[in-house]
Amino acid sequence: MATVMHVGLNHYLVLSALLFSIGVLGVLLRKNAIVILMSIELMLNAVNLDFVAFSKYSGNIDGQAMVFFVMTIAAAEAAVGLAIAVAVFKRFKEVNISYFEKLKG
Amino acid sequence: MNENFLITVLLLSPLLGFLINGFLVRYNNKSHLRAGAIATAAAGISFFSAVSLYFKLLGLGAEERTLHTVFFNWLNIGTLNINMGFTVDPISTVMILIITGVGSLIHLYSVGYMSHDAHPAKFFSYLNLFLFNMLILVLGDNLVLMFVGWEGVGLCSYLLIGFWFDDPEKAAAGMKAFIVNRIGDAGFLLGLFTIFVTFKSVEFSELSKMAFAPEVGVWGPITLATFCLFVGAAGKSAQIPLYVWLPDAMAGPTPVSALIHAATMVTAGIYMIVRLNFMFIAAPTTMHIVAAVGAATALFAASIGLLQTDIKKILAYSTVSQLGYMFLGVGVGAFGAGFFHLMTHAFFKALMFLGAGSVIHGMGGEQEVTKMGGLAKKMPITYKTFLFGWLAIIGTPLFSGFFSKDEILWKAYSSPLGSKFLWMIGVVAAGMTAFYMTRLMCLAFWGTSRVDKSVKVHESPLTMTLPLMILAGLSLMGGWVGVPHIFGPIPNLLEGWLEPVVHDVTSEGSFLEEWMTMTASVALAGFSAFSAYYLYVLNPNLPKEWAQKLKGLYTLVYNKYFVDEIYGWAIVRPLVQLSRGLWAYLDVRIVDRTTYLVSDIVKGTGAGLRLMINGNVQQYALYIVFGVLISLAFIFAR
Repeated sequence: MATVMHVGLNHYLVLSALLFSIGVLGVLLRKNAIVILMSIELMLNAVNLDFVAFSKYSGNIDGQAMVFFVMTIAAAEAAVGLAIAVAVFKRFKEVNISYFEKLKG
Repeated sequence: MNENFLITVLLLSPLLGFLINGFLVRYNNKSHLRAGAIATAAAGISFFSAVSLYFKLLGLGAEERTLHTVFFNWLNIGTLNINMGFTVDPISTVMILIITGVGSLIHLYSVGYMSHDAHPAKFFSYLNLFLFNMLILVLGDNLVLMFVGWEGVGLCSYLLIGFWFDDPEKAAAGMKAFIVNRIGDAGFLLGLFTIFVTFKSVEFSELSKMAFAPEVGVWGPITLATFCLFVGAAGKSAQIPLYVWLPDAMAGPTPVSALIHAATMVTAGIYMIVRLNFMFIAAPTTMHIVAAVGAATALFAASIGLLQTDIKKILAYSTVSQLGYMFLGVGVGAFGAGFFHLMTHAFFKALMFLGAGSVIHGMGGEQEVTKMGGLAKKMPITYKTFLFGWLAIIGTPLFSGFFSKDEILWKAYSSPLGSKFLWMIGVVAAGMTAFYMTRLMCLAFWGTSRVDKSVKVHESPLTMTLPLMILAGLSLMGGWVGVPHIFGPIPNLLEGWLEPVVHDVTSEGSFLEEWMTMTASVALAGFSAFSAYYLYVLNPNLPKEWAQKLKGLYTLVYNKYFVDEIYGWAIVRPLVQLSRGLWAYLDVRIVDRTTYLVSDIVKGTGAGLRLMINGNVQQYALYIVFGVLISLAFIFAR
């Protein structure tokens, strides 16, 4: 029988690192602004996972409180980012990240 | 009135005149009357302050005749403490009276002389600036402040020599004066530094309190300091080997030649030595050099003057020669006599320059004496006043030049620092002076007229002749303040006046000797003057014949011993070639290339780095990731 795998801190951390790396690659490689925003969200949530995991294993509630701040910031960031994406879409009928160059001056 | 107030007015009046006229230049002021009136008034106010200060000093006891005022503390660095302070004492009083008095007359004269000029306001503003700087030079209570005035008058001299800078020759003359003076000024600065390092002070009052024991041997700090200062004096006062700028300085307007290059600025060197007499007397080696250079210059310049044909050049070489006399005087320890000659020379040489200016003005710009002749009838006032100057400079008894020149010659003969040889040179130079001055009179005023028919000779206006008349009076009477004691009970006023601050070397000699030397020099001068008259009026063809016979010597002297050419060949040309070489090889090939290389490296790096900043946001994000990875690697690798 398969033994019940004990889930420890390391598992959380490895998962978090994987999620974060996927987020980084998404930001670096994808051209669609919406996907990039999603990838950023993924990175933030990977960090959130770390916070919660450390909080649980150290018995300190501070990390969990911090997560709420991160979520708030992430929501605000998403709102602004999506608004810009909408503006870019209106102008170019596409939300390719390369159009963001045109925003200067 | 309070002395601080008087000194303030004395100094600021010319400065204010300079500012007002300098401001008017902006408005293209062509009125010579307005500019001249402002400048002359400024000089006149200064003169009245100087006279008031003189009477103030006269009211004090002989030993306490010093008025000192400090406007503010100027520099305070370490042990160096310099005040913006001014001293009025017997020496500087005589100087400020000459500067503002003769200066005012020359300002007045310039109103007429510059009446046809395009930029009178500029001219008068420079003239006032000169007065201001000259007053700082003589009144400054320390060597640094004196140096400020010293440089200031040099600047004004340069500006005024090159006043008509449209003519490249005149502009070059201005630059020559400036550059030659720089050489002397370097000497002055070195002397100043030596004094500060050795005595920890640059204030005259403090220095004079130190008792300087005469230096033994040929070498020492005082000798070094005074020698360097003398180099400065030789530059400013046109002595061998730095005299070459003064004859060229005649390119400036004639009133400038009279004020700056005869009466005041060129005497700054003498003034400085008289001011520091307590220090020079302690350096016998320097004193010997001063006397030797003075005597050599007196003779050398006088001999060049013998054959010049430009009226201003004759007077210029005469000035160099007379300045040599003054250095001979101070060099044998007769500071009072040198200073006395400075004063009388200021009167008669200013008179002669202004007279020459009047002649040039009346001749429509002609300066060659060979094209003059017989002007005595056409310009009677100029002629009669010039006559006074002539009588004074050749040393006619009772005229000012007689007393001062004879005092110098007598001291050169009798002082322990002097010798019979120096006296002989002085007497020969005096004979030459009488010759070339009489020659000038013959060629310009006497004899038959050689004036071109097209030139309408006319007498100058009153603004020009009035200063001539006043200066003629001073040329006659200026010497009466220094009558030597052999003339009986008449007191020597100047000697008594200077006595508390100037300490002459006591000379020994009998009455008989003094009478004999005096008679000898007067007789030689009279003989020279008569032979000049004989040669140039009675037998005008004889000089040409003699010139033919002594062709080699004539060419040598006529071309001023080729000194300018020798300097050009030995100093200027190597310098220019060296500079060219440095420019072509060191500057272009090494310095320029190195800087280009550095800038190319920077530019190339920038061009490379610019490729990274291309506006691609994702690429920027990649840089951040790389940065994080490198940081992590660094942390874990430890």
